[in-house]
Amino acid sequence: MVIFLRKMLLRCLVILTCIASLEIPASSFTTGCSGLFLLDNTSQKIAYRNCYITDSVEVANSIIWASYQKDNGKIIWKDDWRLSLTRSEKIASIGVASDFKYISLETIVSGTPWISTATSLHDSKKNYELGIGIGYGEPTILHAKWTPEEGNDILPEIKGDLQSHILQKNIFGKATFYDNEIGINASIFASDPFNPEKKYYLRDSTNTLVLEGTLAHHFADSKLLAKYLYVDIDSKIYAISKHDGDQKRFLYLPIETTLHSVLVQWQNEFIDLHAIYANFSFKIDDDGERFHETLAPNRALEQSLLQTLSFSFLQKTFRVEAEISGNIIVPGIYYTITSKSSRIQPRIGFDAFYMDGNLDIQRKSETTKFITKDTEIENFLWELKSFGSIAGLGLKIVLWNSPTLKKALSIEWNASQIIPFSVDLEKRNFKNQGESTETQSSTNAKAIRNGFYTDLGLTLQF
Amino acid sequence: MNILKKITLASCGLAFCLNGCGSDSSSSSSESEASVPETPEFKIEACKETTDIKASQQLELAKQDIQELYKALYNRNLDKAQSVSAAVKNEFKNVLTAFPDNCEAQLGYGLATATDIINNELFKKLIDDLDSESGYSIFEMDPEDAANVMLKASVSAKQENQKVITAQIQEAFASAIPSIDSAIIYLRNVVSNEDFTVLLDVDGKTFELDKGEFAPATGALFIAKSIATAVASLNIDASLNKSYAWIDTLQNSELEFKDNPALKHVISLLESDSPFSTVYSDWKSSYKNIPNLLDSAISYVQLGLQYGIKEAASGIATQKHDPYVVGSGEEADVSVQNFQTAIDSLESLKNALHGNIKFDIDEKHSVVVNLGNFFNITDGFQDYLPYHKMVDPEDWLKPSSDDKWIEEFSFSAYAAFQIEKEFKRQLPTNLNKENLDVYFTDYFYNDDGYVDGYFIEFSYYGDAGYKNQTYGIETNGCSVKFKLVDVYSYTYGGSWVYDDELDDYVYADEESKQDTIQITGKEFSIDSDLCRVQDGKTVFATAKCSPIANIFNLTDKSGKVTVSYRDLATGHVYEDDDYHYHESYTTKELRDLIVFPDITFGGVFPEMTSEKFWDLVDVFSNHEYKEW
Repeated sequence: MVIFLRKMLLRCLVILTCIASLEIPASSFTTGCSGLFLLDNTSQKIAYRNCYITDSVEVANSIIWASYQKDNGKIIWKDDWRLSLTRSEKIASIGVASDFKYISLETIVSGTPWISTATSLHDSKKNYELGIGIGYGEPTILHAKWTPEEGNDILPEIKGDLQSHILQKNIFGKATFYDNEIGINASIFASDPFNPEKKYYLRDSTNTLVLEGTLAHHFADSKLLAKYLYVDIDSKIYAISKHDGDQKRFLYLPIETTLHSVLVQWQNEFIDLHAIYANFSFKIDDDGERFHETLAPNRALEQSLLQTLSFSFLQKTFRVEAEISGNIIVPGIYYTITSKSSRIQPRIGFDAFYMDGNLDIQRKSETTKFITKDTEIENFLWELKSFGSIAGLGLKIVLWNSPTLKKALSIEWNASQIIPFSVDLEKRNFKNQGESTETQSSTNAKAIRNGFYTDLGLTLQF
Repeated sequence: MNILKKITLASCGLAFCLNGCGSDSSSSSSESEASVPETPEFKIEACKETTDIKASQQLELAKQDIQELYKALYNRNLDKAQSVSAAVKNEFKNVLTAFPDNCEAQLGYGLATATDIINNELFKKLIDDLDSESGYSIFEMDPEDAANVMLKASVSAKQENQKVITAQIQEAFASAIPSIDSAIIYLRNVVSNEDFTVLLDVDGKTFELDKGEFAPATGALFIAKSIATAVASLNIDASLNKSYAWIDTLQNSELEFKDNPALKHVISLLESDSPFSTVYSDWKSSYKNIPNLLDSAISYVQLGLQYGIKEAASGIATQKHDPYVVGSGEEADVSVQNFQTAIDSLESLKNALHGNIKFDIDEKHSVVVNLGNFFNITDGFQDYLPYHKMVDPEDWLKPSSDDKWIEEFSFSAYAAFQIEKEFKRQLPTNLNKENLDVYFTDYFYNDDGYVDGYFIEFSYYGDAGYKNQTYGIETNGCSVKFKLVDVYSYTYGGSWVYDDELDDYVYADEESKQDTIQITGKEFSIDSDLCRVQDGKTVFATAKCSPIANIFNLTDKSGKVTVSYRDLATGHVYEDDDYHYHESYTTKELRDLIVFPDITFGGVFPEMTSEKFWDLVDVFSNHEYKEW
């Protein structure tokens, strides 16, 4: 799972930022697939699959690489309705990275579409490096489909795509002295609101700040690494219905997300000892302003006489305030049973995890009928504490290796399974409609049943 | 569901679907008819906004109370609504007496008058009667449950001199009309003041109501009057001897069809000389005026929409406190274009009330409609049913001439009806029929596992527990005997048990040993037209698919049978070695089988032809298919 999270981060960087930080072996061919199956029950499903092919060639002081990847992700949530968020993208990318004596240049063009470039200045040994990067793209991030409950002919099925126009800027630096290494990276992403010519669409206006710091010390046979990551996302998501060129907003979600994460890792040829701590918070605020309702279904109705008259006789709006925060600690150890020169390198590992989190959601449903307004307030307070383990198995088989020619062919497989030992989820729901209040609470409900991750890859180095 | 019940329901459903409920000669329409109320006429002063402080204070209180009233109505709290309504009406009345030209008082009094229908004596009595019938508040029920209560109440024995339920409903609706009329007079007066707005404090937020709301509300009152007039005008009295007890008899599946007086009554309702679905003579002019009421309703809604467009022209600043904002861009609820389209659609609808209007169904199909002509049909809808002949109930279950006689008994045999009926007769008479369900089954499980064959089974929900008994159907020639093959029973009061597979708690009853319910076990013979012994073999008349009671035959204009109801419901049947396949008739075939005496339905669809009609049926059925 930890492997998955790291790979996901890397892929996200490719998709969203294309900071040229891919560790692509010079002159190599790699291919593989991975999948995460986190939840699969009748009302929720989370699954993600990814396959990729990367080919790179080193020519003089440049590496040219091309990749093709297929992403398939699906989140389904059934309630009184069915919401599916899917991502199904085929992305072809090409990149060039050139190292000169005092300057390095890198450019990536991807079919999402995305283009980015990075330039860095450094000394001849690359002990000190400082660079800047810039990127721009219009990736389609996800497709959303919301279907009302069966047999409801009034509300239409709503299909919308979230396509964003993203501008990314970053500055990065690195210093190596004696056996120490310090690295920093600061990125800013800003998305421009974008209105496609569609009947329904999602639009976002997002500002993201990512700060990354790395500190490493190289011992004789091992390396100690500490990393800090700070992410701050200030995002506003809008869902728009468009009739005859006129837009009406029916969904508004101002989301603030903050993440602090620290990784400490010590590794040698056989052992990878690590610990991750993360603290996150996710907040949706309701300013109570008109047209800032979380959901206003009347504005999403198909243009009709019924829709027009609904404003006079029956209007419904929903306002959501939410705060989710939590902490995750994941200490773990991975052990490669044989040395890196062996043909067969089995790997076994174990991460423990502890997480606690709080979810506090208030949903206010307002129904306006002619001269009256009915307000129903529902509060969902969930507290989660869980600990367990993530067991991992891996196997790398070097099919062919020629150190003298620097050529190799290897195949690698990894799998992880979440095994929760204890999940303590306390749910408290309050409902307040007019004069009556209903309270429901339950404990020890199952939050996550289990999760499974696997990947398989082939690498040819030449 | 058992076959007999299905057939009974099908026949009832069909009878109602064909609009065939009416009274027989013994029911008197004049007794059921509500008297036509007089339309109130009074003059009121042109409304103005008053600046009197005392009046304003009184009005503020009344405005809060009227919101409470509407809230109680929307929350279906009738008791509260009734008590608040009377008070609110008085509060507005007091201001109106002191300031007859006060706009807010006129508006409030008009609305309160309309809602105070809930305090109308006839309505109150009707609701009280229905509440006591069900033990619950009918006002809080969903429409389906409320309809069931009404049906139950209509069947229940009524008090001496009490009118049948349909007559009570019609009287209540008729008595509501003058209140709606009065409310309309006040609301129209308010709407005529272009600049009048009223501010309301709704949950701490200011709401500004203006002509954009008052005009559609006036339209809604015209629609309410149309509905009340239609309900009161049509003869919906389907009672038999001033009672609806026949509905219970209709559902009595132990009776032979031929012996069931209720079925005869239903058939009589379908006859073209039945008064059912006609318009009472005193109500004819009111009924024929409904298109004009609808016209007014539409005009007022259009007026409200037009006002919205006018407001939008001066931007959204003036609409800051309006319930909805008309304008372009995301900071508005609805666009001017939408409002204009709605006005145009309403105009077409309005024109269809007085003349012919063409509505496009899709790119190729359209239909010309004259809704006004619908309200000219006052002599009942029976004349527009397809040409048909009702079959004598005695012959409903007789096999058709092309049905096969098969050696083995199966549930497709017409004898199944008789077997089920006989089985019910053999059950103890003290069982509560409402808790009993009898049905056929072709398998059951016992300790040895799965057993297949032909069985009849009943489930009974007694006071202490639930019981299920399965009987084998043993035939000897055309004689039949029931043999008990399986029994199981549970007592109520089990416990909640966690089911791992469902990840939820399920309620598990406890198995118990109760006494077996005894049936008489008497052997009986199947009628000779359903079962015969020929050449030493017993043969059963067997339907092509499942046995269906043939309630009526469809005919052409000359009276020649085109298709039986049984064949129509069965469709085409194809057989191979193991299976029967059946396919519904195509619309092309139905065109020749179902013949309407007047396909224009009294001029409602003036340009309709048989070809166009069946094309449209095709379009709609395909449309539905695509949606699924």
